[in-house]
Amino acid sequence: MAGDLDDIYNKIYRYCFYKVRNSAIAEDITQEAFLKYFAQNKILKHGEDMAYLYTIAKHLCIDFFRKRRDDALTGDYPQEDFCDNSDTKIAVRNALERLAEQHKEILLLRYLSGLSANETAEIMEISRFKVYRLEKTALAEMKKYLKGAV
Amino acid sequence: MKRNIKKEIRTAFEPPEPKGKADFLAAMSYPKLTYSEFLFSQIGYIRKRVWFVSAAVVFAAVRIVYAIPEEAKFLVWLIAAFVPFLAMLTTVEISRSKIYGMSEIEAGCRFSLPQVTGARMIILGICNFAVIITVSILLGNHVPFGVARSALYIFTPYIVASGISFMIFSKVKGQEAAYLSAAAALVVSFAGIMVSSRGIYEKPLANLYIIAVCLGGTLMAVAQTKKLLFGKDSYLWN
Repeated sequence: MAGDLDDIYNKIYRYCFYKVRNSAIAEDITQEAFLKYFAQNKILKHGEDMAYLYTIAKHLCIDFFRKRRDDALTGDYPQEDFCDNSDTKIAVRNALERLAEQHKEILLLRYLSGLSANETAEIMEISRFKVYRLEKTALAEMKKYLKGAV
Repeated sequence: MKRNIKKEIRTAFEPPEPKGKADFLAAMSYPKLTYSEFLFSQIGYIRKRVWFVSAAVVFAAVRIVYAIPEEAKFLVWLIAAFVPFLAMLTTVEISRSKIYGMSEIEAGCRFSLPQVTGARMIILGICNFAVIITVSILLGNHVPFGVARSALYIFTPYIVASGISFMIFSKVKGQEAAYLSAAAALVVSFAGIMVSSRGIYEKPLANLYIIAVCLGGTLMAVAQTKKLLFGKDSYLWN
C-alpha cells in the first residue's frame, strides 16, 4: 500500500501543481485531499477511488483560486515555480493554456498524471470513447499552436 | 509526434520534488481494515467457478432427490466420486499465489501470505463443509444407512483428496502442482467409484476401514495445512 500511495501522491501532486503552479501550495492541497479522502474511506485503489481523490483535489484547487481572488487585492499570492523555463517548455505551456478547458484537462490527466483512459473517463464522468476523441482533438490543437509558436 | 508531445507536456509542467511527501505518508494515519473486513474482502477474490461447482453439487442433489428419491443411494456414490474435484478446485484456489509465482509479492503486503491463505481456507472450508452437510442431510433421509454414514462416505474422498493436493502443493512448484492435483482427484474419485460399485461399503467392518481412511486423510490435511500456513517457506519473504 505504501508504494502505491507514493505513486498516487505523486500523481495528485502533479495534477495540483499544474492547477496552482506552486509546489508548496500543490503539496498542501495534495495532503489535504488525502486527509479528506481517508476521513471517509478505508482503502484507496486505482479506478473509482482515484476518481474520487482527483475530484477532491480539483475542488480544493477551485477553493484555492476563490481564496486567491480575494487575496489578489493585496497582491499576496505565491509565484510560479517551474523546474525548467526554457523556450520550448514555455511554448508548450502557452499552447496548452490556449486549449479549451476540457481538452486541457484530458491532456493533463492522460499525459501529466499518466492515467489510463478508463481512469480519465471516470474522473471526467465521460465515456472512454469520448476520452479518446477529445484526446485526439486536443493533440491536433496542440500541434497547431506549437507550429504557430515555432 | 504524439509521443513527443506527451513527453513535452510532461516535462513542461515538471514540478519540483515534493518536500513533505515522505514525512506526510509516514505520519498519515489512515483507517486500516479490521481482520473481519479483511476476511470478507477475500470472498471477492475467490473465482466464480468454485462457487458455481459448490452450488451445482447442492442443486444436483436437491433436484435428483426430489425427482427420483429411490436413486438417492446411487447419488451418494456419485457425489462421493465428485467431491475430490471440489477438493482439488479448493486447493488450487488456496494455492493460486504459488501457481502464478505471486507468493513473494503477496507475502510483502500488509496482510501476509499465510493470512491470505488462511482467510481463503476458512471461507472455502466453511463453504465446502456446508455443501457436504447439506447434501448428506438431504440424501441421508432417503437412504437406508442414514445421515451420519452418508456424511462419512462423502467426506472421506473429499478430505483424502484435500490432503493429497496440499501435499502436492507443498512439494511441487508452479502449474505442474495443479495438474498433479487434478490427477490425484481423478485417482481418488476412481477409487471411490470402484469401492462403491463392488458393494464394499455394505460389507462388515467396511465402516471401520472408511473411518480409518477418513482419519488418515484428516491428519494428512491438517499436517499439510499447518506446513502451508506456518512452514518456514511462508515467512521467507515476510
